[in-house]
Amino acid sequence: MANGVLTAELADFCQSGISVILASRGTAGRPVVGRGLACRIDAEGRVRVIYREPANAAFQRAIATGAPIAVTFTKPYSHRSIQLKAPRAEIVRPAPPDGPAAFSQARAFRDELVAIGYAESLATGYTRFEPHELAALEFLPDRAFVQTPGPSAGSALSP
Amino acid sequence: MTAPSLDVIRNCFEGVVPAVLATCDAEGVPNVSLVSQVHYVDRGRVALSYQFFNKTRRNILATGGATVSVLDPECVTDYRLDLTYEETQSEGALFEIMKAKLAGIASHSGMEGVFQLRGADIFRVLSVEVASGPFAVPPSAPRNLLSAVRRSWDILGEAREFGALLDRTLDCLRDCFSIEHAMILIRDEAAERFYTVASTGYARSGIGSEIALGHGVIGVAAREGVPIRIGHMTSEYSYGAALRDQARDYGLEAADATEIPYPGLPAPESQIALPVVVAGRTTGVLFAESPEPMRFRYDDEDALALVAARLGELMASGLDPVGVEYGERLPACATTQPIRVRHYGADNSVFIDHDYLIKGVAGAIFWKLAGEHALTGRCEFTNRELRLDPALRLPEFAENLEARLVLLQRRLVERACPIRLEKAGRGRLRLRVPSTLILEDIPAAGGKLTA
Repeated sequence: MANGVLTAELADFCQSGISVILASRGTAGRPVVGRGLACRIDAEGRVRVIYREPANAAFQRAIATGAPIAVTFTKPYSHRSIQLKAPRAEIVRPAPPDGPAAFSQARAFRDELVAIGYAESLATGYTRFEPHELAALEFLPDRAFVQTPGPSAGSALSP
Repeated sequence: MTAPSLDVIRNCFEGVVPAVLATCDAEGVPNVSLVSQVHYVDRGRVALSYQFFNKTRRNILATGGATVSVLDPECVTDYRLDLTYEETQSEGALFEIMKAKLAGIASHSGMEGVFQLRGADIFRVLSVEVASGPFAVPPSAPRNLLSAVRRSWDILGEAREFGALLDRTLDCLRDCFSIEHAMILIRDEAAERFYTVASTGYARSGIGSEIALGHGVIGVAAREGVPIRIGHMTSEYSYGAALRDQARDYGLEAADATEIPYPGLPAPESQIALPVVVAGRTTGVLFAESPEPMRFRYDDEDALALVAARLGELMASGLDPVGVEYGERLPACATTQPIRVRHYGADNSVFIDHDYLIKGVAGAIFWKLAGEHALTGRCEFTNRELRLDPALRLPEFAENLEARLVLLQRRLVERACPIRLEKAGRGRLRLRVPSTLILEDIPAAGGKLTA
């Protein structure tokens, strides 16, 4: 893709309805953690993460102060994981396609969790959101890493 | 909302759902990954499993800071914990507890052989916050564990003999805790093994079967003196693996006539083993298992640890070993055929009419009683004379004499042997022999006595 970090296949993977987890740096250099719902990636390789604002207040504050971002995407069935990083991200207004993306990706993720044996109440609770809770951020990843558990976790991905 | 104390959110630490761990490197670049295990250490600390020397690990060592998001899988509440690294333990009780649990998690998530514990990274918890949820109503508790402990406490206190105490413990597990499959094992000091002395819920009792110290869930709990718990079936801790390890450690001994099969479930999902401590030493293990995954949680472990503690306390209280009667009553018209008793000095194994009965210290005790009976016609013996008999070489920690007499009594009944052992009064035993004994002793070739 345009920025040379993501391939089309990786972008598809990230948008396929899987686990999206987030981190940034908060006050006094301490890490902050967050959980995302879905992701949209444009042709330029710009990554848009959709998340529930009330559940990620500290994370959002850190991003708003210009702190760097890390996002890991994991497919529960295969454990395949990749991590994207960028020196900054921008909090953006939710756009009309964000709602449907969140809905369909959260639904796919929920179905996969149930398929691999998680209780339906857990899978449904974990992926639920109210439309008014949705928030979004955007960043252009400058690095990508393999994160699948095992000794090669952490090695840089080169497209 | 007030921050919850760690001990009320222990459901988050069962490893049902992976946690999310965020760290930063020394330059402040964040890193985020899923972690399979966040373990509850105490009300102020958790431990993370260190499996690979990856970016997360390097960041933790560089900055000491981490933040983790953990999920209660039942009410679907997301908690955020701010952590500060304290130390890493790569052996000992906490390490073994986490290792066993991780083996279960790995097996459940298809990562057997990938997840391997290299250390337990211990963190102090600076703060706990609810980020979202609850999103589900947790299922109502199937039982009140505190009430179950209290009832068990009273019931165990009513036992008048050692053997009855063991049976009551297993009855309490079944009646108060709905645990269908359980056993009690007692330490054989000399051989560093644990032998089964009571069991419930199995097709065969397995009384007399053995587990070596350090092997399987039972052996590790015994060696470390801490409860060991697994929520999903794992080959690493299976009885098959324990047998394999024993064969490796003790030389490949083919199954012989004196091996009593272990009674356990063929495919347990959940297992828990709790040390039974007497006078500061792990003297026994209370073990329970279930075909249901995640059957034993943190709260079950606490409750069963209290039952095990009560058992240990009562084991040391000077109970008589056996009762007047155990098992089915022998028919009044007992055999008049002579009974052949063969004793092998090499391992004190005893065979009655060619059927294996018992070996080790229990075998030596039986041989002494049978010998005295054949020689003098005596039927009654005191616990004290057994305790003091130099030929029996009883271990210094003589509290195990009661357990060995229970073992012997139960094997006699199980083997449908015409000879019975029963209580004859306070501190006295009676050997009931319905006909003549023909004794045959095969002395040990090298004079080596094994317990």
